[in-house]
Amino acid sequence: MLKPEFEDIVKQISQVVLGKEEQIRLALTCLFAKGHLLIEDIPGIGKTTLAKVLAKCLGLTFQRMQFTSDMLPGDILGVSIFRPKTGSFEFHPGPIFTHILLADEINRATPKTQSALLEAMEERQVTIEGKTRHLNNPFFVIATQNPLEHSGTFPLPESQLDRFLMRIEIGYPGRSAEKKILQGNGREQKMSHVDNCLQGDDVLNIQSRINEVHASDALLDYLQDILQFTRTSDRFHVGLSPRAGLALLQAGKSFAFLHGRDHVLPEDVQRVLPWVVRHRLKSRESLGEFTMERITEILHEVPVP
Amino acid sequence: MTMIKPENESREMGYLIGALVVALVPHIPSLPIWINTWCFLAFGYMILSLRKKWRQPPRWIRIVLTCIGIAGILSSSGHQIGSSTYQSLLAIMATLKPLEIRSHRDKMITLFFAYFIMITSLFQSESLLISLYMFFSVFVTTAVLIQVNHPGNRFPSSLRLSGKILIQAFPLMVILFLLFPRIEGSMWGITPRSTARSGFSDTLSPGNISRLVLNSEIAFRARFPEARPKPDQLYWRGIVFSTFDGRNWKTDTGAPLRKNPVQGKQAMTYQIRLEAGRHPWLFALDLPVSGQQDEIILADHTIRSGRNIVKPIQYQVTSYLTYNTGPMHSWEEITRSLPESGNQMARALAEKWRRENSRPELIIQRALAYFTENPFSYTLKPPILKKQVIDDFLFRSRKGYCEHYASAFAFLMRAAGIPSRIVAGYLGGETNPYGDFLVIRQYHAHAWTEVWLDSRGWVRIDPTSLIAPDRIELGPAGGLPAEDLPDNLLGRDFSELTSFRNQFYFFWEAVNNQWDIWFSGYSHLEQKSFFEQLGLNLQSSWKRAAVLLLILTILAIAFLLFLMQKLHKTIVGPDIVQEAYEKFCAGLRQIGIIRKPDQGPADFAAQIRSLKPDIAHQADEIITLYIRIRYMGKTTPEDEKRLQELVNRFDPVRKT
Repeated sequence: MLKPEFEDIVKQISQVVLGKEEQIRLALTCLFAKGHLLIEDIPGIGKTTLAKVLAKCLGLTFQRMQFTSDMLPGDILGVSIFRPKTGSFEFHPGPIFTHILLADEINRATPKTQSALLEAMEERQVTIEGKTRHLNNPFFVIATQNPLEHSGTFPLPESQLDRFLMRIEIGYPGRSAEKKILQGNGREQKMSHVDNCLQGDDVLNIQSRINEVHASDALLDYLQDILQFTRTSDRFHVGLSPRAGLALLQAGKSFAFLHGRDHVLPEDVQRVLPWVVRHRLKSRESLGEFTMERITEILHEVPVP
Repeated sequence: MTMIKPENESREMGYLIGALVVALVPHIPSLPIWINTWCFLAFGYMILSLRKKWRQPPRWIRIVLTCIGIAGILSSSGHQIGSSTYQSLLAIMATLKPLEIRSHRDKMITLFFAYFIMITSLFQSESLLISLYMFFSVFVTTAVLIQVNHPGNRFPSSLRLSGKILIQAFPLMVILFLLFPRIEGSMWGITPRSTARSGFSDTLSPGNISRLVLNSEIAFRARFPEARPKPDQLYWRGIVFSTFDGRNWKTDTGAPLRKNPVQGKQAMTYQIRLEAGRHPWLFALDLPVSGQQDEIILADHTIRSGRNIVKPIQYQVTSYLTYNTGPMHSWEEITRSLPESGNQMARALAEKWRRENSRPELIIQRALAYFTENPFSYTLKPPILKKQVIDDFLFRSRKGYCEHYASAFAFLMRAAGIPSRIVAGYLGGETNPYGDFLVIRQYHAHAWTEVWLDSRGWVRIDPTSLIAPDRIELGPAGGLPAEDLPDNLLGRDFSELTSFRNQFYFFWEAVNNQWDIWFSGYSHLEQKSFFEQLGLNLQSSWKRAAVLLLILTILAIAFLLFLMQKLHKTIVGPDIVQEAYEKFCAGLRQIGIIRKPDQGPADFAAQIRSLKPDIAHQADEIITLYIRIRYMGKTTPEDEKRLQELVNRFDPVRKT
């Protein structure tokens, strides 16, 4: 259970996205940790809804983009248009100038467009026609991709995947939750019931407070042991990078904070670990991804100091 | 590379010079005066030049000085190149090396040179004092070595580190001492200086022995495991002089090996540790019966070693204090003969005694009575004797030391037809109350006479004991007139042990004796028996080397493990928190609550709550405290103590 104020947010969101409290908690963890979220699942499972409700609940602006293969970077970042009246170019900001950007089916865009978005994610600023423009703060990208469709897609390379703090799956709803979905009113109507739980600078405050969460030496040792294990074990194609380590720590801090603690426990790292590292690791044998079970094996093999 | 400030540089030079001086000190007594002066001036100049910031002398001056030094050594040592020559050379080099120090490398070479000089002080002596001093100089030089390599250090901290290193090296030193293969014979063929001091030669002339009174050096030490002989039995037999040429007595090289066993009573077994001396004679109480295998007992009842004693040796002898040497051998006929002529007055006197007395015993008594009846006196400073030495002594000067009396008496006996000879050795010895041993010094040297009697064989007659009866009881100072006493015997009152000075003197002697027995005397034989005591019968030296190698390897591994552990500790620190937590987990394991290695504390607390609600409260308290210390970063020492307390009090087994 989270701290009551955060558990309220979870409750609000789960009015719309039924029976997915765990995923909602993880999404919140990721966003408060200033990380971008990748949701990987089949269509129609509620990815977009989750993103929308999150934005509304956190009191942030929201933009959605459906990625296609004929998309150009300008479609995301914005373009300058010549105004004959003034005789000058006027910048039309793209959808990226928002707080939460839902990049639907990101793997459908060409690498050129993908990388324009991913660069903006990393730098939190865009340079268009020689002029650097800062993005909003906070700025999150919630990207979705369909793992099953392959034709006409450009899978994100590892280096790009690395920029997402977490990758989660939503999965089918439980039987009772699905019944409620089937019984319930339309989504739009439900959405209107959702209240703004946070306002204004609340998200920024939370983010800065998460930075102050204490990670002790013992915890860092544990974290390093995990990193070292992935680097020395022969199961992994390539071990975790220092950036992955930072991501793990940041997610752990956020998770601890949401649970009302000012320090990180090994448990926090353990809870977030599968979602933080699974998209960053590849099996040495198959060069494919690990199953959830195999990822949790990491936890079992690294003792808590 | 940081630049060293000039004042630091000159201070460092001062330390280097100090290390050299400390290393050279033990050599001072054996170096010629001009070398000592040279060293004094050179080091003085260097210290002065550091103060005044003079520049180093140019290269040609150093070359000239080197040439002068080497030429000086060669001319002063003459043709005889011994350890003293090498020492002089080292001293000269030690004074010249600091003049050319420029780089770090030069400093290191100078320091290793200081270490080398230290080792060579063992040429001087292996005594306790030198060894202790070597510890001191290794300590100082190592500190300078540390200082040179860490110029930022303060010197006291370098000294402290040096001391620490030496203490750590101590066990290794002991092991190497015990196990390192002993080299037989003298290393590098250089004999220690102390060998030149033995007072005996194969010729006995007047003055030979009285000269030794000035020498306080130890000749040997004797240890009696059982009873100790009485003072008048302490005649240490060494050399027999059988031939007289009218002035000097010579040893008879013709004495064969002793074949017939000697008959006697009052057997006494004792150990002797003989100091080095360039002669083959081993000393033993009158009359040695058996020695060890290395030595030879000659038919004149003296013991000889196979070769000259250039290193201190230890041996065990059994002697009969009363004995009968049996019939005379043909080779001993020489003990009857005198030169054709000379010393006519003495011959006449002896002839007169022979005519008056039929039995040899009576002649001997008559001769001894002659010494007591006439005004003979015992002195270290006898007048110079004329050509007819015996006549001059017996009838004119009548002043002499033991060799005069022994010589005159032996002459008289031969002239009277009684076979006689002179035995030289030592008489008496200092009793040390701190150890069960006697110290026999060079000034205990003595000469006495033996005459041959039909029924008893060779009989010891000591004419000196009539002139100076106190000589036996009180040692060499006893019989001498006060004005005759040399400095080394003055004011030493051995009969009492009252003054602190005497107590210290004897204590120091006893310590030295132990040192010599256990350390200097640790030869390859002792090493072998040490191995045998350990149950290792290692005949070949390669086996011994293998054992040494094995032990060193084990030591090295142990040291490595120690180092690794220490390194680990310095990184993590002694983790009492973790220990307490593990103890807590171990306690819970006994009641079936097992913490998985990857289980975090909060999860573990939840597990305990669900499995054993009755102890959950206590366990929660511990885990909460543990989390606070371990993960919240707000540790106080009290917290750690409290955690230990809680864990110690926590006993899940009894609770259930």
